[in-house]
Amino acid sequence: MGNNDNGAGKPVDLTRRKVLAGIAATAGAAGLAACGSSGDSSDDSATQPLPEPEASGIDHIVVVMMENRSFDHYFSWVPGATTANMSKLKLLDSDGGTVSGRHLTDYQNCQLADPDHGYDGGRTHLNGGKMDGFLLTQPVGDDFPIGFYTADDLPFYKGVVENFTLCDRYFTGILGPTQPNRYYMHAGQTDKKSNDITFFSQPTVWDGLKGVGRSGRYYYGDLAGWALVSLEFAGHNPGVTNIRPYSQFLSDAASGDLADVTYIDPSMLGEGAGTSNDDHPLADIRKGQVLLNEIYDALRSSPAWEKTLLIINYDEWGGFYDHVEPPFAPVTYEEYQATGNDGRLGFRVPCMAIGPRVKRGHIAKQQIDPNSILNMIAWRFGFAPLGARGTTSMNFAHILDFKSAPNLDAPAFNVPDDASYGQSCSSQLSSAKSTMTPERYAEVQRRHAEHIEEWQGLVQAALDAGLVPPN
Amino acid sequence: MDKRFGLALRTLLAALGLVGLAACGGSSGAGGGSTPQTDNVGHVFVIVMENKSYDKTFGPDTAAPYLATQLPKMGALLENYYATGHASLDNYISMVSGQGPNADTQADCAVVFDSFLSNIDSDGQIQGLSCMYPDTVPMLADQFRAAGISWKGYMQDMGNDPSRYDSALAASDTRPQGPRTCGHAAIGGVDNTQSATADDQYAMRHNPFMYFHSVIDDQPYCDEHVVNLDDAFAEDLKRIDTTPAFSFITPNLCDDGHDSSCADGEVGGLTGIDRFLQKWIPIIMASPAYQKDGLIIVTYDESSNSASNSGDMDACCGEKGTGWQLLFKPGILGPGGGRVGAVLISPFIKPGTVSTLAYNHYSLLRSVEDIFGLDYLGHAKEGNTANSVSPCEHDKQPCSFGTDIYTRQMPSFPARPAD
Repeated sequence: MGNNDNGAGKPVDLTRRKVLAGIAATAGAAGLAACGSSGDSSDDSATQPLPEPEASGIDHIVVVMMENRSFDHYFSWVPGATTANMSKLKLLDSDGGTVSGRHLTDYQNCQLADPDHGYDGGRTHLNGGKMDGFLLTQPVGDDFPIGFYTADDLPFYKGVVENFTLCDRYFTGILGPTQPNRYYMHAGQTDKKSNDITFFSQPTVWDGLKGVGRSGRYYYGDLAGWALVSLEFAGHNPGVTNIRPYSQFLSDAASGDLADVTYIDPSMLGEGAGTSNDDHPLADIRKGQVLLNEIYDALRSSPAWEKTLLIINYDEWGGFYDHVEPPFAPVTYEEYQATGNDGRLGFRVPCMAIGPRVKRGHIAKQQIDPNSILNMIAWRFGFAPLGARGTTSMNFAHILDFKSAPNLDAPAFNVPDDASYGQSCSSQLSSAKSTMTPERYAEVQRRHAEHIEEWQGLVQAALDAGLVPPN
Repeated sequence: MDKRFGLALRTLLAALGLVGLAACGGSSGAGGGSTPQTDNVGHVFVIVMENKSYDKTFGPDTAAPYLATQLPKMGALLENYYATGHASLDNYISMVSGQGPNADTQADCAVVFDSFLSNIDSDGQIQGLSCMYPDTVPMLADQFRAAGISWKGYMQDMGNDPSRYDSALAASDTRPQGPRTCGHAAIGGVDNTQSATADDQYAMRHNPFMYFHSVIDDQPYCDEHVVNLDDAFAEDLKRIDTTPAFSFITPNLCDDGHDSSCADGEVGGLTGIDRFLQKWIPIIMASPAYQKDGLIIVTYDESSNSASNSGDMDACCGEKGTGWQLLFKPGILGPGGGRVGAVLISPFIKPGTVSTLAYNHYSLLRSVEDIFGLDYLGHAKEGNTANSVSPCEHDKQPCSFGTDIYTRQMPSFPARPAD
């Protein structure tokens, strides 16, 4: 298979212009007009010719997918980014009461209910494009979905925004929960809308890499990721020797032993107890910052840094407010048959690009999604695009900087860590019990337990299937 | 000491062919008591304190001089004794079951989840993350129960919460020492003892027995074996036949040093620790059970766990992480619970003994199982090979207390079940 017939190169540009024009016409309110206060953030870069893939200076692509935060929820503090003014936000709850956006002063919010982030819940939030239904799936009196954070809460991201590229128009693959979106990251399509345990049968990025003799590796933060990739992607994953614990990523990076493509997942099993580091409620988001900073440190001090691109994104919005209506994108025939997915992309989530080939202090305004990353991988390593969005999702490489020499500067960020992070979840819950109705308290507890059962059930299924986690 | 008893004792010892006894018995001397009256350790007392790194407790500026300098003169200081994880609960669990930390026990199980998977791996570790260990996971109390060996957990303040006071138990002749039910949250419910109140400084998370179905599902058994320290301990120590073979002693959140300014207005921290030990160590050492064949072990659940001190997350003895832990790290930010040290006092130990060999909570469990002739559980079994003749490798596996500690006389151990 050659590099030029993959459909992910130049044709992307042409199609993309039309797509962008369509978006501008239909979703103009979303603030394309408000773009571009930072000097070099014009969309011109999208039309720049890309270098030959082999000469791109990008030999290692590393993708870290976190969990469940929306763009406005995390990044409303960034100058020049298209965001809502969260402190002025007012939404109605299901009793018709008006609730205001609030700067969250707690990093876990154990006493609040994990916001609904299912396929149907997402459409309630969307409310036909009015983007005002985020509190309708939440117990009344619980304002978690419209809470927000600022720069001081997110010290790693503060450093990234100052030094690298933040994408402010990155949508997730499907307006739905975790697993379908993680399928999009691995395969550019899904065959389900829920988190049920199923086996995926379409080609994945790992198949694509294998087919052209390239290397791929998956590092799991705990056995949740291990089970997802080992079991559900059985036959379509990077293979046992390339499914490795996160701790090994640190040593692999230190020795410069990076695969062509690396995916890293945070730990997810402890979501309900508040001990995970994936940013999924009720994780302590400071632990997520610590994890990402550790990955960044491992890469910037790796011998492979010069040719490495690190992308950090989120699987889905987690039920948190975002003001931009997501557009539609094509779905494969198989996906439509299996799911009836209407093709609505998921709400905007944080996405960042970090590396020597990345624009500095830049906000990338172009519309991108998980298939954009896959299209870049397919372009760089020379295999056919995955899923149905090979021409409609802009190759992620377009937001990078191929004009300048690689910039190896990568400052250390001051990201505090402490053993007290992520420890206190449920004493907060118990102390808040008296402030809630019994129904609301029960609902908070139910949502806490839900993800524990989901992930543990998946690991159980993997173990029952005879899979053995490496020790 | 009663003169007649002393004479009788000396006669007995002479008959046993033991010589060189100078510091005889009693709690007045600096020694760890007299030479044991049997070849076996028969009574073990484990006292667990809270959250101090070795340097804090045993360093030159210690605020606990009794623990740091007095007690080692009476027995053995284990300089390289390590905790197995962070925060509290996972350490206590490892001491009594050999089960490693998981993300829930690392977070002290503020909600008492009951959702382990059913699988148990080849290291005897249950899979999953949760709080309540099912009957299929054996623990020390189960082994005692099966072998007919007596045991008790003495929990200071447990049952101060009036709702745990059982008037029927109080009136019972069969259980005069304990009117209180064993103290645990409802399964799946919130643990309300995560912070102290002025009249209740009990912490469920420092009482490992409450996380095992095999203990709590049998209410009379649980009530009999996990009791309020102040209700029962002094009384039980009066006679050998009422002193359990194994006593697990947890002070309250003030006296174990967990809180520095305590909810009841007392001073805690190392001062609280010394206060507790100065009261109870002499009482234990004066007990006939201790003097016959006792072993006191004082240690900590975990180090100070300060992120600025990376040594607080150190591990030893081959401890490894698993995917059920946050980032595969038993110590959350690192591989272990940090160096905490331990002091052991026993007639089998020459006063002033110092061991530099590495031990951890799994070594402790293994050593207790040696003493009582029980199978090694969970990680305590690690590196063990049947009929092994090569010495235990302290840097690679948990090892039992040996001649480095039992410096006066190596006890003999009952036969253990074949591996």
